[in-house]
Amino acid sequence: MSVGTTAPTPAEGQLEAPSDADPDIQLAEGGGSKSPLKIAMTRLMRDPVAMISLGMALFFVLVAVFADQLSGLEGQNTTDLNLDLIGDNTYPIFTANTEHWFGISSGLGQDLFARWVHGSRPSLIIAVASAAGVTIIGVLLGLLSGFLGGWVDRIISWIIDFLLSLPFLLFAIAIVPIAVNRYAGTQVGDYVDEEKVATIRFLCLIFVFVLFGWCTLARLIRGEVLSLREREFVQAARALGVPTRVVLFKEMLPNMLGPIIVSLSLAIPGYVSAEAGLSFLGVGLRSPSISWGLTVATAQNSFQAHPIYLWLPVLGIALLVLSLSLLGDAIADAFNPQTRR
Amino acid sequence: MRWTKVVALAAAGTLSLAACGGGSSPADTANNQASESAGTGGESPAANPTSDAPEEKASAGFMPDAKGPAPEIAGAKKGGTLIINAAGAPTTFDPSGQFIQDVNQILKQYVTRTLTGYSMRDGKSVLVPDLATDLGTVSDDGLTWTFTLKKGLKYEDGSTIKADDVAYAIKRSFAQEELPGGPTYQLDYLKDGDKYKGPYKDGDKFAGVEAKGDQVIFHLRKKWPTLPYFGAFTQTSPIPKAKDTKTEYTKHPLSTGPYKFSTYKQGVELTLVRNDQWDPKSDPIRHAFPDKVQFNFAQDAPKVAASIMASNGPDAFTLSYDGVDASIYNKATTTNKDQVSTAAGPCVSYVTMDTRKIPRDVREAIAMAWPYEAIRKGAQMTKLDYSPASSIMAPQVPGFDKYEPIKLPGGAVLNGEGNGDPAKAKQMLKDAGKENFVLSYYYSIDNPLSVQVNTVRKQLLEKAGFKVKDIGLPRTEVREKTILSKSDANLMQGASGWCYDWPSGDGVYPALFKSSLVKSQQTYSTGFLSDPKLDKEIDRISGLPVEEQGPEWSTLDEKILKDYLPLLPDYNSKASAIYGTKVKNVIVDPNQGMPEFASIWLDQ
Repeated sequence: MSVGTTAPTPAEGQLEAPSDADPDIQLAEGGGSKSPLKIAMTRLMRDPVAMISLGMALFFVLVAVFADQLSGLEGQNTTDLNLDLIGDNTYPIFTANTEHWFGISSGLGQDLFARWVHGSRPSLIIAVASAAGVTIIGVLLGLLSGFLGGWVDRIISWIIDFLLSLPFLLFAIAIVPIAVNRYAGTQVGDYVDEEKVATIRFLCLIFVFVLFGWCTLARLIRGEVLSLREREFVQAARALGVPTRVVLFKEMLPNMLGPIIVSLSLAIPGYVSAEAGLSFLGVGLRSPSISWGLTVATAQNSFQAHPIYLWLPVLGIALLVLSLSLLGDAIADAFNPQTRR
Repeated sequence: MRWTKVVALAAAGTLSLAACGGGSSPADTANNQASESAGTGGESPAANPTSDAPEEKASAGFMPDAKGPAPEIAGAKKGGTLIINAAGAPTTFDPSGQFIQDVNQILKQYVTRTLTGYSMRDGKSVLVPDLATDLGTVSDDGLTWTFTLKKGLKYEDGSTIKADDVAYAIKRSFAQEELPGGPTYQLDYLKDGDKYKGPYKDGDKFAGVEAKGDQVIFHLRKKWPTLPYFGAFTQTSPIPKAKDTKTEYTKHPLSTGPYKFSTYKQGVELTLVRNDQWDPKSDPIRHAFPDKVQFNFAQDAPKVAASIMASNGPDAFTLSYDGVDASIYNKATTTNKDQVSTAAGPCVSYVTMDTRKIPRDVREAIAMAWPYEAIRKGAQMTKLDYSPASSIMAPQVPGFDKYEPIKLPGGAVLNGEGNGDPAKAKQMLKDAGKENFVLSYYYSIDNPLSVQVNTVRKQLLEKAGFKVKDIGLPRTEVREKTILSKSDANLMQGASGWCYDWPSGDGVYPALFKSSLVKSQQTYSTGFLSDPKLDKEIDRISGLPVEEQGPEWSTLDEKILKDYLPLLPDYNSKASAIYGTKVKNVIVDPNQGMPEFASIWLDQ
């Protein structure tokens, strides 16, 4: 990307081959051979918005990874009740101090900093795991459906259409109790260990996100494959008798890296906010899991008297989603040879 | 009765109170998560007090000679518009088909007069005659009660109130199908009450009630010494048959009190204006100071609380009976103390223990470990919402001796205070050889406050050496499961509290501790006691004359806790009202858990 450089920008509507005008690609040509991936990376590195967003996202990743150490540094954990610090009005008697950096929750007096750093974990894990699952399944089925055609294509396309017609939210709400019953092996109303329920809910969220996420990506990939399939290099490879597997993964997949990475980077912030939203509504994670969405749900009653309780998880979600979205946008731009900024 | 506010609190805090009769959603406060659960009412357990002994005209808490007009209030001024902002949204104002705390008080204080009524005298709530000349006379066999109407009483349209109309209204309260939501005591006590289905289905012929001249006569199936309290139910408020619009009546109940309906939009607003046909000289209960009373329903409680505390413009003339929101607690207890009125409410909340499943020594360990205050903090209850309880009955009931909190042999004191002693409880369990005793209970998983409460409860019980099996369910299922006689839970089953419908023990103990309750599938039995000796004692006291019952009930109260320990008294509800700086003389009636609206005046 050429922000901050003195590179000339082609006039609007001018139909020029990108390689003639884009300094990155000129550079690439000068250097002999550079793959589209490398070109995109170079453009990305020069984008300050992308770099700031990346830094922010990395910050949250580090917070999530070192959550235990961070709360250890503060000297608190996520579950201890500090009832002596709760006043008669059921709100904490202070906002924040050196022992409780972000204060404590109203009613229970649990340390909010410890809960905040631990709250970033499910957001990131669920988002990354779901995005990875979506990408793998979506790419695989998209490739197969596009390349093989025929009845394979028809079946996969039908499944995609079917899944896209299902209401996501209803499904997300309905699947959790079913899964708890199914995998905890009990009747409604029987005792199930809450840790087990928490794990099942965690996996359920990932499952639902993947189930509803892969179809759009598969559709996209299928379209790309359909156009690539008739290109000369693919024809040549097939004429030479290269096995289908190799054609798919060595010839076609590298050419679709752009759209895949773009979809991946835009999916992650979507899943972060979806996790928080579902947890807020009570259909996502559930106590004793710690999640920003859950904290928002309990904090909303205390908003007027104890605002820090609500603000911090909201800020966490907002910053993480914003930085990931901006990063995703920047990546999309970097991979698109048509963009100029 | 549906004591909406307390139900709300209890749902948030520990569990839902069960006592209050059926009826549809009264008070889903818009903002308060806690009270969402008030939406689904438990079926009325219809306490079935039995009485076998003869009795006479009662007097405990009674003031049969009270005459109108109501006692003068020094400095009271007439005029102005009183605004009442409520979080609840009443669905009905039909006097026959309501049994809900707020609707009840609005109707009784402003619109409909009843045979008898509660009035605050010298800080005490007493029962006084209202439409009737006295609190009723009972026949020698105890099966016939007679009330005589005062003369010259009129409806808002100028027509005369007749004894026939009172009798018709009582018959109308049997039309439980057409007008659901009312109490069911009359079905149980009045003659043929179990068969009669109301005037719409079965016509006017009903043996349970009769009008003779200006007399209303009740014929009973079994003795009912506390019937004068039933006279204060809006179900005894007269309705002329010719003007009965059935299900439409809720839109404009014919006024007999100081105010009449002017505009009414269901669940949104109600405006009351003066009823010029009301004669203050005949009424020992009500005043009529403001010219107009404006109710706004389904209001956002924290917002209302903040604006009342600020008291700007019309907010200075505004009152809210939804208690003191935690967000204004500090103001309400210090600088703005004058804008708060608080009194005990009629509800007591319990921690029930299934005596069939939890042995006595473990029950004592639970009593030692129970973190009352931590749980209340978790439920975000403030001291304006509760006071610690030490008895099964609310202590303000007439004749009740408030005994010293019981000290159990194991050392625990049943005073509803403190955070328990986990170390001692652990030792008690160890001594009993019951370490890691499993306590299981249901709690509502879709209410953040109840989840928060469970976090405290579970953590602190585990600290005391119990193993906790907490079964999280959606709140509607929790309601169903907690009243099952056979269930997986051994803690917090049955009634999680009780609100009396009239201030006497015969509406409380029989409904909680009789052994017949344990046999039914769904039960409010508390602790699942089944002891014939206890049954007999309850029956004996229920049959005593009303004024002798009070002390006997308190002796029994103490005995049940000491000898059976089926529950830990948790807290007594408190009823609070907050109001703007120009609203004067707000007194909360502890028997109703609501402000006595009719005494309020405005400082213009």
